[in-house]
Amino acid sequence: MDTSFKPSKKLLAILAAMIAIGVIALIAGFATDSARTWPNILLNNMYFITISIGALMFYGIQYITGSSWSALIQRIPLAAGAFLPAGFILMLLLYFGLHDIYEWSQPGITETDKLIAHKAPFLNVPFFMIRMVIYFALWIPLFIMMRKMAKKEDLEGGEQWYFKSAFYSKVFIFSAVLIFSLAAIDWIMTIDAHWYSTIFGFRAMITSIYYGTAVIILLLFFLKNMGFFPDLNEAHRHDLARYLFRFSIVFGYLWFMQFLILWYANIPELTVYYSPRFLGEWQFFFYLEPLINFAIPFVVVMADNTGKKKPVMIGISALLMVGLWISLFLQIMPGSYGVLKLGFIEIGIWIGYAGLYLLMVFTALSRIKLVPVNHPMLEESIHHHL
Amino acid sequence: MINNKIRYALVKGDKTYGQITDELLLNVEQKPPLWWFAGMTIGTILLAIGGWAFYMSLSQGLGTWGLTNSVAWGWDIINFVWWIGIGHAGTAFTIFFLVFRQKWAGSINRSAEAMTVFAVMCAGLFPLIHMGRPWLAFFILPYPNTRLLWLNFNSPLFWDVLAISTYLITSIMLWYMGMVPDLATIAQRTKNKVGKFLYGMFSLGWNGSLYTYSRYETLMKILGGLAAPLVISVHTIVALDFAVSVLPGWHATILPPYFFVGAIFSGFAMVLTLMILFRKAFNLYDYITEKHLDNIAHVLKFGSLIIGLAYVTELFTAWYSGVDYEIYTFFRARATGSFSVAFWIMFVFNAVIPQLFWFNKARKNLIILFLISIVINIGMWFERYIILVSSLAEDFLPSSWTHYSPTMVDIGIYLGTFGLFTCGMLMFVRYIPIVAVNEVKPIARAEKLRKQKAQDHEH
Repeated sequence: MDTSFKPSKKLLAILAAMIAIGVIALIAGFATDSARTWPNILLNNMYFITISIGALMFYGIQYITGSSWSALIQRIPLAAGAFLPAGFILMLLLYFGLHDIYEWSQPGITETDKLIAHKAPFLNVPFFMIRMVIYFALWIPLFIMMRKMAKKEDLEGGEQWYFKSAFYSKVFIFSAVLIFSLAAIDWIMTIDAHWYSTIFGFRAMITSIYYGTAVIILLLFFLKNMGFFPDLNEAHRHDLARYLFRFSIVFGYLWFMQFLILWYANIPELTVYYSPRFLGEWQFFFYLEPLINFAIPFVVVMADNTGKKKPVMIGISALLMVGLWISLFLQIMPGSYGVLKLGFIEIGIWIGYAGLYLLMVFTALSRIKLVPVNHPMLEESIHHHL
Repeated sequence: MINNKIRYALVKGDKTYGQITDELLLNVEQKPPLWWFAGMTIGTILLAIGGWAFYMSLSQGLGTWGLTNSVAWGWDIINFVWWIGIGHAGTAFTIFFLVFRQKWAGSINRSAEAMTVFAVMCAGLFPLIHMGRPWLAFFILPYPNTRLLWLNFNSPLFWDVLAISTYLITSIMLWYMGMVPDLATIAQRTKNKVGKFLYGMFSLGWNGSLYTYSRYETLMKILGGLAAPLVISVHTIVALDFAVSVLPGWHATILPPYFFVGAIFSGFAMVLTLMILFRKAFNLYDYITEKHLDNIAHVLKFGSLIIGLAYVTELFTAWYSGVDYEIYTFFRARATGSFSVAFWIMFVFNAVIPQLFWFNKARKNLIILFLISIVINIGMWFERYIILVSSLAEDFLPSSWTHYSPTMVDIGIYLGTFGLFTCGMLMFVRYIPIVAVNEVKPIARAEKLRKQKAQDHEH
């Protein structure tokens, strides 16, 4: 079984070109309108951190639930989290653009805005940066430990690495549940500094697994096309499709609950968030978000034979990549830049980030065996049938 | 090949099919033990108290309850939410078993489903009595009528009616369909003529053929798939009863998922309580092993984490919102004010104590398991108390602030539902196998084959 993956020269060249496009878009963005560029950087940071955390949570869930079917492919979610260190650095860079994103960070605003003055003990630049550092100081070491255990398992074998991986997975899930909820509140919700919603962090945290799964599916089919994972069968694919299906329901549920409760009670302080989105110029994206993230996956993946249909799985996963972007675009832009603009800057920066993300993931994949050869459930996973 | 160092035994011991049938039908075929009659007596007494309270509520009116103009929802709705929350675990176990393929849930889901059915019945009683004129309960159903009155379709209370009745029907279907093969087994073995007739009738002509089994599995798969969204919808809509209002403490977008997780959490705690009792009472140690209890404890730990996250999020957001009313409700009324005792009981019992399950020793110790399962159910009762009463008793107008305390009638109805639950569960353990025999047999067989393979491998 071929278990070592090396990104080909052609692939690396494509990724380099993607990153170059991103850099050009960034330069173009800063040259023309830095107030438009900074929110885009935040958007893409959040985008790729979401899928990294989501994929690692997927990895952790397999250990917590004692799932055996996924042992064969478990290195993909592990590698899909490799963006975290880069995400950390890129988040730190936001320091220079905070004023363009967050209303509360503007100097002197506490004197004119009573509500922001009330929130100032939490919403101030030093504490914001300290919190950011704490989040990554928890995630990155845990991610490194999870990788280390996986590598040791490959080299030495034995069940103890399985139990150690399970332990770190539990701690990771624990910290991701708590911290990613807070991070989403911190980085995204505070853009609309006057508005609040208790479900916000929870929703970002849970739906990250959705997008993580979509990335895992895309990476898996990419590698499968190159000839890896000969043991991958329909049952594995079907189980991945089931993940998508279940989380499409979760997405629809959480999306609708936040909207319904705020719409129903109709308190002006809270509907202020939805009025530009639901009634204003963002309306198109407002309806597009649940359509792409919920309705289409829900209807398409519901079929019992999705595992057989490779194009459907790839198509839905790719669609979800668009869906996450739209979801974040809608959360970030109205409160920060305030004007609906979608052009080369937005798309170019995303392409650049995607290139960087894939570069990091492929590098991580090339440094570890693609199949966990000593995983105690590998046999069971290879012979997985529904 | 399955690695036996990672996988634990779901059924202990080398058992033949006959042995499994004998052991699992014991509770149906043996004469009920003395404690069963004692339990029935207590249950009946509690039911009688409930009957008295019910009579008082009907004959004297709801004035006999502790409700006031401000606190229009009191113990009745608290207990309603509490019971319906407990009910969720049965369906959750079925979903674990049928949809998530968690085989360990196979030996628990029968009794958990029974618990669901009785708990939802108990829950349904409260809104019914709360109507004041239960004989007009059919008014809540939408039907063309000479009064030319229609329901308010915008009201979550109406959504509740639909959600809960659908849920109750689906739960009963799941529970009953799941036991059809077992009923056939009992009908075949029993000597009692009446029993033979009844069990035979309810087993719907089950003959155990492959064809029947294939149909049965398809049906269970469909029912399991239907139950999964239902279980979420029920407690979501219960949460919406509160969340769509404008009251501080109620109007929170996190309420639906938070209620749902809370429901699973309290239900699992109740399942844990019952399982510890059942395995002792009917010697089911080989079918409900320490590992099963351990798994439930893990789920409780995770539930507690999410509940804790919700509590902290609510407190944080109350401060973060900067709204005076929100801050008052959470930090004055709940955390430090007249409801602080209940608040901290809720917080510690639900979010802190179950975290003990991080320790292996706590999960292995039956007494600790049992105590924590009780503690969680007390904590979850206080959670509903806090949510309901603290927001109502101290609302926007200080001139209308009141104290709320239940009357004997309130307490009586609550005790009555305990009686209903106890009697129901005791009838269940008297007449129906506690562990699904037909589900356990294939699990035990797979286990046996696995052991043989491992032995062959060694030689």
